[in-house]
Amino acid sequence: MNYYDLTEENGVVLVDLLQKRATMEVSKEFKEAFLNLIETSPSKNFILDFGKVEFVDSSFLGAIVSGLKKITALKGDIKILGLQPPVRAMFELTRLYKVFEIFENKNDAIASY
Amino acid sequence: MTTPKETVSVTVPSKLKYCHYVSDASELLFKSKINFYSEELFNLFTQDMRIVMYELFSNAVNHSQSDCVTIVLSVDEDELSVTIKTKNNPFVIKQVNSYINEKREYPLIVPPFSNEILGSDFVVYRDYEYDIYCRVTGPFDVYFRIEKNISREKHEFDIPEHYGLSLITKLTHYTGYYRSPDGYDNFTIKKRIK
Repeated sequence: MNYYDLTEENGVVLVDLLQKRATMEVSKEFKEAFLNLIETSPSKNFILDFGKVEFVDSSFLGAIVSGLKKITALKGDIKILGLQPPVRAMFELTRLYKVFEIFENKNDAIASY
Repeated sequence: MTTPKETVSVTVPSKLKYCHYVSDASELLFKSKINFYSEELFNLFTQDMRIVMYELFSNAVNHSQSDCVTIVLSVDEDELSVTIKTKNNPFVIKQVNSYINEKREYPLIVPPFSNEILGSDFVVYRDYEYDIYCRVTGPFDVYFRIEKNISREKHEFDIPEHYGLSLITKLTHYTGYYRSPDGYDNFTIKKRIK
C-alpha cells in the first residue's frame, strides 16, 4: 500500500499522508516504511502533511513519535502541517503539540528549517 | 426520581476492521439515548467518546487475542458506562521509567496480583503534564487515575509511544479493569453526561 506521496522543496522532504483514517490498520506498515525513509533520505528535514487525514489513533501517533526519535538522533526534525480539528484534538490530548512544531501553511513550515 | 439504567450489549469479531463500526454505532446510540442540553455539548461528548470507543476496541483486539469482543453500554441520566469484555490475555501492568536516563527494565505484572502489591500504585504513562497511575485494588482488579504534574522539559522524560490508555483515562472519570471468575477480562470506563 502507498501511505504517502513524497516531494522535496528547498532540501525539505514533504511527506503527504494519503490515508483518511490513520489508524492501527495501517500504522505498523507505515512505521516500517517511514523509518526506512528516514534512514535512506539524504535530507533529514521532514514535514508530515496531515491535510487529508480525518481521524488519527494512538498507534499512528506512536509511529510518528518513533520517527521523531530516530530523526532527532540523526540531527534532523519532523514538522507537522495541516491538522484537521479531530486530528488537532489528538495532538492536544497527547501533548504532542509540545513535541512537534505544527504549521497551517506549507511555506511557513518549509521556512522554519 | 432517577431514570432507570438502559443497557445495550453487542458482540463483534475481534478484528480491527470493526473499530469504526463500533465507534459509529456507539455515536448513534448516544444520540438516541442521552438528552444533551445543547448541540455543542453533544459534539464535545461524541468527539471524546469516538476516541475512547476506538481506543478501547482497538486495544482489546490488539492485546487480548480473543475471538470476539463484547461491548456493554449502560446509560442513565448522569453517566455513561462502557465495558469491553474479552477472553484470553489478561491486562498486564507495564511500568514506565521516571526519567529519560533511567533505563530500568521493570518486570511485567500479571494477575492474580500478589497480596504484597495490593493498594500499590504503578506509573504506567508519563508525558509533559500528566502521570497515569495504575492502582492494584484486588488480585484481579485495578483502576487508573491521572495526576497533573508540573510541566516537564522535553529532555527530562522519554516521549511516550503508547497513548491508548492515557487517552481513555484523560477523557473519562473512571477507568478500571477486572478479571471475573469466569475468566473474562473487563475494561470499564465511566463518563459523566452532565
